[in-house]
Amino acid sequence: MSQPLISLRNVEKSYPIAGGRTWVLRRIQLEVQAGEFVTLMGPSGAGKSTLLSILGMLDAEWTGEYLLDGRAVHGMKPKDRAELAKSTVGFVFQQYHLLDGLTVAENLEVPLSYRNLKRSEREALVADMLDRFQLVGKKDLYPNQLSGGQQQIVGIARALIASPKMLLADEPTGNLHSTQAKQIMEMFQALNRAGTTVVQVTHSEANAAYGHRVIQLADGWIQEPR
Amino acid sequence: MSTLLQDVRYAVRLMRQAPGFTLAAVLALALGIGATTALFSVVHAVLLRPLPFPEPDSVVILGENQAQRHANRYSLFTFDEVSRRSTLFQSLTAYSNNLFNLTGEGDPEQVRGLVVEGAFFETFGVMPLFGRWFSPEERTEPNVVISHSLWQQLGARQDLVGRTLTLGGQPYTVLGVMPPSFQVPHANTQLWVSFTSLSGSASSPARQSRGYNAFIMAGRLAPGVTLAAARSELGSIAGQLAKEFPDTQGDLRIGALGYQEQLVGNVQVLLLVLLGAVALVLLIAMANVAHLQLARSAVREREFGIRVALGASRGRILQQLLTESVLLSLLGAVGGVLLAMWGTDALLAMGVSALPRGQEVSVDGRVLLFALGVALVTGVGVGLAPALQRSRLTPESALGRGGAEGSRGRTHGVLVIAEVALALVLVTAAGLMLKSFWHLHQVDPGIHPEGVFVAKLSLPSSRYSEPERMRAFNRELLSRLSTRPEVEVAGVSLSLPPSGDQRRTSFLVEGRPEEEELPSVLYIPATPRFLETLRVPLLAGRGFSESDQPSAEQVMLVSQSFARLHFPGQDAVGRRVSMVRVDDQQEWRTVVGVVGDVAYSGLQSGMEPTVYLPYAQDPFPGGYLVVRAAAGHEAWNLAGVVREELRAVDSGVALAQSNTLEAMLAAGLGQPRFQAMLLGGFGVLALVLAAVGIYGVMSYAVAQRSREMGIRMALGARREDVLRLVMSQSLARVGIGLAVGLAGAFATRRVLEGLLFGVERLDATVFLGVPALLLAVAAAASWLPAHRAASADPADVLRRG
Repeated sequence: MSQPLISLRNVEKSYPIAGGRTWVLRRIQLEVQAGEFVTLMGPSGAGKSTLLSILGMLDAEWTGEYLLDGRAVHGMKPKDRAELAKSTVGFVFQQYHLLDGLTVAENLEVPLSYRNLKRSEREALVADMLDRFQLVGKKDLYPNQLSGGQQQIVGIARALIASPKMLLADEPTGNLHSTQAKQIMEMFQALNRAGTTVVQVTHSEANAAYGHRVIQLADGWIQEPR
Repeated sequence: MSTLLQDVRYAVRLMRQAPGFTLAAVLALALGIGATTALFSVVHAVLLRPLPFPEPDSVVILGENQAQRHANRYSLFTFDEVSRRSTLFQSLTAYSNNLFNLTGEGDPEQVRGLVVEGAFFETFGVMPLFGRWFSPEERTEPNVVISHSLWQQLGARQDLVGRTLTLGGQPYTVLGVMPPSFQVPHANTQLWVSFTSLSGSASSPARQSRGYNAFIMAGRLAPGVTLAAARSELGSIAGQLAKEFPDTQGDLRIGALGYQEQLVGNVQVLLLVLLGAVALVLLIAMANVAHLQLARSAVREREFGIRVALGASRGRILQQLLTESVLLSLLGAVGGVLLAMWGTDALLAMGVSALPRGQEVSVDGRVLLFALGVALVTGVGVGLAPALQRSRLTPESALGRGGAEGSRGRTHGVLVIAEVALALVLVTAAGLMLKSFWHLHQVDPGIHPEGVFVAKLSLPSSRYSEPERMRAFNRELLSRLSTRPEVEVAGVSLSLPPSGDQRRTSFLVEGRPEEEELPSVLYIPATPRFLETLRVPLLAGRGFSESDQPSAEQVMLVSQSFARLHFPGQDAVGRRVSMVRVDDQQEWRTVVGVVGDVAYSGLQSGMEPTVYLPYAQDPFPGGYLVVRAAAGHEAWNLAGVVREELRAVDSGVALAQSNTLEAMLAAGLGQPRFQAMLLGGFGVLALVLAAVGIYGVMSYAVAQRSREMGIRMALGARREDVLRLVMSQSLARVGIGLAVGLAGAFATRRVLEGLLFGVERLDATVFLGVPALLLAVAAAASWLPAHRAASADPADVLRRG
C-alpha cells in the first residue's frame, strides 16, 4: 500500500476552562489514501468540523502528529504550513464564503492572486474553470445575484482552481435543497473519480453514500466501525 | 505589479460602494493635507527656497551677528573705510531707501528706489533681463536700472533701455531692467541709482557727516572665506575705527549675517510654529480617518478571514489594505491641493504678502511634491493600524468562531486619547495667541489716530537741496492746509508710528561724564503742530512754536520715558542735551517741554525714549504729512484736499502712501493678527475634527455594545444607568487625553514665547479654560450616541441579536 495522503497520529484539541480542560478531539488516528472519498459524520459537537479545519490547516491549535503528503505539518512554521495548504488543499464552506464585492470571475481569481502567477496565467485558469462549471454566462454577476446552489458551485470551482490534491468540504449542501444537493454531490463524485481526494463533513446519509467510507465521530473520539 | 493593479481596482470599487465613508474620509484628509500644503507653500517661499542670487550663501549683511527686525545702518564714511581695509570680501556695497518723483510719464508719481554706493550689482550678481548695470566707475553718471514691475508700468517697451527718465527733476538714462525675481532690498523697490549721481550728493550730510548712519552695508564673501572669518575681520576693523574716530565711530559694531537669514530671521519662528500647528491638524484628521478605517475593517472581518483561508499571506493583506488607504489619501490630496490653492490666496490676503518674499508664495512643483509625500505618509499612517490588525487574523477567528473586539476597542481608545491630546495642544496655542493679540490691541499707541490722513512727501533734491527751500515748502503747504475748512490741524515729521523711517543718534546729557559708549536715542524733527495733530499730550513746559528758528536757541522736546530715564525725579525742562559736536564743541539743545510717549516702532516694541527737534532747526526733504480732519469730515476725504494744496505749492512734488493713520496702525498689527487668526482657525478646525472623531468612535462603540445594553436594561438598568455607563467610558478616555495634552501644551509653550505679548507663560485662563472647553465638546459629542443607546428598546435589541 502506498503512503497515505493524510496521516493523523494522536491528534488532540482542547480548550482550558475553570478547573480543567474541555476536549474537542481525543487521540485521533486517521489515514486517508490519495483518491479516497471519505465522509466524517456524527452528532453536533462531535468535532467533525474541527477535524476538517485541522486537516485544512485553518486551525493551528492542536497537538499530535499530522503528515500531509509525507510532510510533517506538526513541525512546520506557520508560513510553511500556509504554503503547503496553498498547494495541497481546496476548502468548500457551508456558507460558501464568497466575497460579496467581487464578481464570479473575480472570486475564482482570488486564490490565484496569492500564488505567484502572471496575470495571463490567472486569466486562463479562470476562463477554464468558468467553462468547466458552466459559469461563463454568470462571470460578471455578484454573489447576491446567484442562487444558493450556484454560489456553492462557484465555491467549489474556487476551491479547485489551484488544482489541489485534496478537497475538504464542510457541510457543502447544508444550505441547499435536495436537487441542488444532488447536483453538488455528483460533482464531488466526478472529481473524486478524476483523482481528487475528497473529505466531507455531513449529517446526510444520502451524501455519505457518495463516498468510499464513513468515519463516525462522537464526543471528539473516532468511533470504531460497526 | 498586476496584484497591485488588482488591489487598486478593488479599492476603487469599495469606495464607490461606500460613498458615505469615502466622502467623510476624503474630506477629513483634504482638510488636513490642504492646510498643511498651503502653509508649506509659505514656508517654502519664505524660508526654504534659496535666494535668486548666484551662490546666495556668500552674500551677507553687515551688522549684527543675529537677525534683527531692522538691519543696522552705517555712514558712507564707515563704508568707505571698511571697503579700504577689508580683504575678505569680493565686493561690498552700501544702500539706502529713497523716494523719487518720477515726472514726464503722465502724472508725477512717487517711486520707491534705492541709492547705492560701491559694487551693488556685483555683490548680488543677478544679471539684468535687458541692458546692463552701472559699475562703481560710473557712479557719477546719471544712470538708472529699473525693476521689472516699473518697466511693465512704463509700457513694457523693449526700447526703454537707453531712454531717459526724469527723477527728481534730473534726467537719468535707463541702463537696464532687472528680472522680476530681483527684489533687493524689498519687493516694492522700483529703481536703483548711484548715490553719487544725485544732485548735491557731494555736499549732503550723508557724504559730509561721519555719523550720518543711513546706509545698510552688504557684501559678497571672497571664495573660500567663511562667515566666521569675515566677522572676525569686521570686528577688528570696527575696533580700529572706534579708536581712530571716537567722536563718530566710538560705539561702532560690525558683524555679518547671511542675507537670507537677516531677511527671514524675524519670521522663522512664527512660520515654524504655524507649520507645527498645521501638522497637528493633519494628525487629528488622520486619527479620524483611522477610526473610520478601523470601524470599516471590523465589518470586513469575514472578507479577510476568507482571503486568509484562500491563501493570502499577512503581507498580501497588508498590501491590499495599505493600497486602499493610500488611494483614499491620494484622493484627499487632490482635494487638499485645490484647498491649498485657495488657501494660499487667502493667506496672501491675510498678510503673508507682507512677509519677506511673501509675494512669491504659490503652489509650485515642489509644493505639489510635498503634498504627494504627505498624502503617501498619511495613507500609510491611517491604514497601518487596521492593516496590522487585519493581517494578524486567523481564518478561524474571522469565519465565525471568535473575534478581535478587545484589541479593536483598545485601538479606538488610543486614537481618541491622541486626538484629544493633539487638539488640546493646538487649541491652547491658539488661545495664547488670541489673548496676546487681544492685549496688543489694547495697547495705547500714545496717539489718537482717528480722523487723521497721512501721506509721504518727497521733495526733489534738484530743487530742495537748500534747508531754506525745504522750510519754505513746508511752511507754505501747512499754511495753505490750515486755511481749509476740512482741516483742523496738520504737521510734518520724519517718522510716524508704527514703523516709519527712524533715525537714531548718540547723545550726551549736560553734566554727565562722557562715556566711551554714548547712549543713542530716536530723534524726530517735526513741525510745530505735528504732535498736536496726533494729540500727543504736552506734560510739562511748552511745545514747538514758529519762533523756534535756526537763529534762535536750539531747543528740543523729550518723551516722558526719556525724561524718566535720564532725569529721574527731576524736571527735564531747562536741562540741556547734545547730539552733535561742531568744531570739537558739543552743540547743546535745551529741553523746553516733555510730551507723552508714542510707540514709533510698533505696539509690540513698547514706548522707546524719543526726542523731537524743531523742523526749522533740522530740516529734511520730504517726511510724513499728517492732517487731522475737522469735525464732520472724514480722514480719507482729505486726500483730494491735500493734493489740491500740494499742486498749488509745487506741482512737481508727488504724494505717496496715502492712508489713514488708523489703517496704518492696524497694518502694523498685521503680523500678530495674521498669527492669531491662523492659529485660531487651526484651533477651531482641530476642535471640530476632534469632536467628529469622538462622536464617530462613541457611535461605533455604542453600536457594538447594543446587545449588552439591551441585556442590561432587560435586567433592570435604567436609562440614566446606561447613559452614565457610556458617558463615563468616553469621558475617561477624554480625561486621559486631556492630561497627556496638558503635558504637551506645557512642553510647547516655550516655543511660543517670542510670539506672545503681555501673556504669562502659564496663563491660567487659557490653561484651565481650554481643557474645560474640550471636555464640554467631548461630552456633547459623546452624549448623542449615549442617548441613542439609552433610548433603545431592549426587546428589539435582543430580538435582533
